[in-house]
Amino acid sequence: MVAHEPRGIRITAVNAAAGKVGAFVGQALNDARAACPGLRTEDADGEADHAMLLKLANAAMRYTPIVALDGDAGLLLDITGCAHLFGGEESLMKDCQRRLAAIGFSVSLGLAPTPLAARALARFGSGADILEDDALHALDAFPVEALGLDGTRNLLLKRLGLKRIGDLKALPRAALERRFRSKQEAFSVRLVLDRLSGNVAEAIKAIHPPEPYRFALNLAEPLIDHIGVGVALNQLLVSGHHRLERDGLGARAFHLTAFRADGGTSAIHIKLSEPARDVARIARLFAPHLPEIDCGHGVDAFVLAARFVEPVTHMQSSIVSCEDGTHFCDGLAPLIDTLTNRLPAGSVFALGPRHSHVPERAQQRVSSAASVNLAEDWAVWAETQKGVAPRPFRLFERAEPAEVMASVPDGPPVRFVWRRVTHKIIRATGPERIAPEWWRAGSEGIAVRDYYAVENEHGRRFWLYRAGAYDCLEPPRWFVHGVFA
Amino acid sequence: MSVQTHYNWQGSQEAIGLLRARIAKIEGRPAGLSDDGQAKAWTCGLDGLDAALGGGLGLGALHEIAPALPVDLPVASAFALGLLARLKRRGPLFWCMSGMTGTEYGAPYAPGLAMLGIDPARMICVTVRHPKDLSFVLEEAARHSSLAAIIAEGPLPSFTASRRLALLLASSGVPMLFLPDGKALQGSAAATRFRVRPITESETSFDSRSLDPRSLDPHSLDPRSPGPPAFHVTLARNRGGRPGLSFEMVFDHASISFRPPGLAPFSRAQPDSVPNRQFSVESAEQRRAWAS
Repeated sequence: MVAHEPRGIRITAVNAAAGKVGAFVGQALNDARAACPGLRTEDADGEADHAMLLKLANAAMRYTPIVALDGDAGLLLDITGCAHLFGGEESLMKDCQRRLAAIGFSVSLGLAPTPLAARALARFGSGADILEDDALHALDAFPVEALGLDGTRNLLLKRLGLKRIGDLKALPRAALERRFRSKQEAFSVRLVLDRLSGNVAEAIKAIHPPEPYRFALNLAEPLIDHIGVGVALNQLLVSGHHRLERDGLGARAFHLTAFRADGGTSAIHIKLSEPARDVARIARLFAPHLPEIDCGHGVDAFVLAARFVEPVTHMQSSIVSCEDGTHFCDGLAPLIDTLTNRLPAGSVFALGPRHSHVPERAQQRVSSAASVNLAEDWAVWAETQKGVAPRPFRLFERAEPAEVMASVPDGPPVRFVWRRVTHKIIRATGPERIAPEWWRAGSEGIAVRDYYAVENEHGRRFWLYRAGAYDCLEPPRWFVHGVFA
Repeated sequence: MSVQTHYNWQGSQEAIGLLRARIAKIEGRPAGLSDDGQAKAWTCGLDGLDAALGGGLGLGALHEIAPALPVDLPVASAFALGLLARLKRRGPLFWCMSGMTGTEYGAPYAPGLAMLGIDPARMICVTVRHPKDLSFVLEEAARHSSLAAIIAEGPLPSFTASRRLALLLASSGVPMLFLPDGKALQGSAAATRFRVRPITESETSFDSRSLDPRSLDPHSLDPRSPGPPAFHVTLARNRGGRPGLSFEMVFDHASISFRPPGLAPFSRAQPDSVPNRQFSVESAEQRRAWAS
């Protein structure tokens, strides 16, 4: 792998064969070519490398919820409390090695009580080392580069004759600090030593924040069809239900991640209008999405995460199974959930009042999840509506322009053309004058509207308005705004 | 050994009742529609139409309310809302609009709905883009017995789909009013089909609006103002009754009832009960119960 740099083309990565002929990372390509003319090169693609690493990191979520990227080519896994699920630390490492080897990656592993020690072990160890809690002194023989300090500090330490971690540790702290030019440099070296021993905790930046309600299922045999996925999901939902019920909680979103044997992952998720944990209801919402899971050559692990966990305030509605197998739900929320998960956002809504005298602003669409208090809101609204002129029951989202003829200026219309059809008006009432809301920004240019309720010769009723007046510079314009019953 | 049989008269009546209910279920008759046409509560308030329907509209059934012309869809929906204002079932009203009916004919507007006697807080609206989604949404809704009623606007489903809907509605007991947008290509399994067009009050014999002393609407005193909604309704299909009858009627906002046009309102008998004209705080409690 080569990259174009200001000082010529340099090697960024070598494989085993190239390493044998003496090529190394950081070497100029011309030097390497001189040593081995047959060297094959490819352009390095940092973005693709990073994407691949992220993919592997996602796949590593099967072992633990806390996975972090470590540099350009490393992953850091916090397997505290997870190893026993895979039969111990050793077999977890073997499993990891086997899986990565199967998809063509060579991997060097290290397991240690602190992140820094594990990093050092993986980079400079034999590739499958495990350090016990009391065996940190085994790292004393490692070179100081294993501490992950930057080049200048490594160089300084080497100049000081401190080539191994053990040498560094043996030195008294005060004596060590005096050797550095600045306090900052001394501090950074001291910090890595403390991190190595675990005296100072090192924060791990996980790619996904860990979820408290996460349920994993490892399968003995890979699954290749969606029927099996449904069964696995049900099993996870049951265990999730137990945990959530014990804590009196429900979740408003569920994510199901399937881990494929070939290292890929695919995920589906659903959302709910209220916190829930009911197995049948959630499974029903997942059902249409199950085919979206790519089973590939087989899925061998599932993780179900419950997000937006909240207390469940009321009893869940029961789902009654009828004799013919269809379900009838006595609550409305399951219906709303089914529809909102299937239809595009904003398709399901309830109508809420808004205190405005401008017709199109007098109602708002509210998500039906928030519709619990609507009845009171509308009752309050109804109190303010006494003596208001009739309103149409269907309102156009955008008032549609019409050409109107009135018998006298400022009089009611007698004829109008709308959508290329001429309507002869036989009855009309009005005008009802509605002024713009002057207290709102941007209302200066909006004309006063005069509304008329009209009926045409066929008995269809419309709500027309005239924007502007005849005595203004611009002639008034007419619009059809709604339809009456 | 002899088997002694006790004939319990009351018990056998009950058994016969249960068997009748089972037969009705097998035949796919709407749950509210019993053999002798009893136990029907959903009336129009217009004696002739109610009699033609055999006492009223069936709950748990599919009713088609077809506009005579495509542009009459708002009129058909006004007729449907008038019927729903008279429905005594509690629970939310589910209004499903398909494709462009919302933009073409106007979206539901709560202040106007309230004036028709429908509590806007009960309304749950769904817009779907694809006809395939429409039948999915309607079938899901038809399963939920907590809904008071379903209004659907859009292309008519196929005969099979409408039959599925009718069966689901019959088991859940929810009525559905389907407003077809466009020509029907196939038959449907609807129990009734109304064909609705508007009429002007000049077609009616006598306009009594200005004589109505109970009217609170100041505009109703103006003889040139549009009157109450007036419909010409043809009963194009009527399962278990005579089809083909036509009726002219207006919807009276004050009493929430259909009445013949031109009849002086104060000479008309008041209906026994007026459904959901008032939005009470009690309905907020109900709302919470439905939401759960």
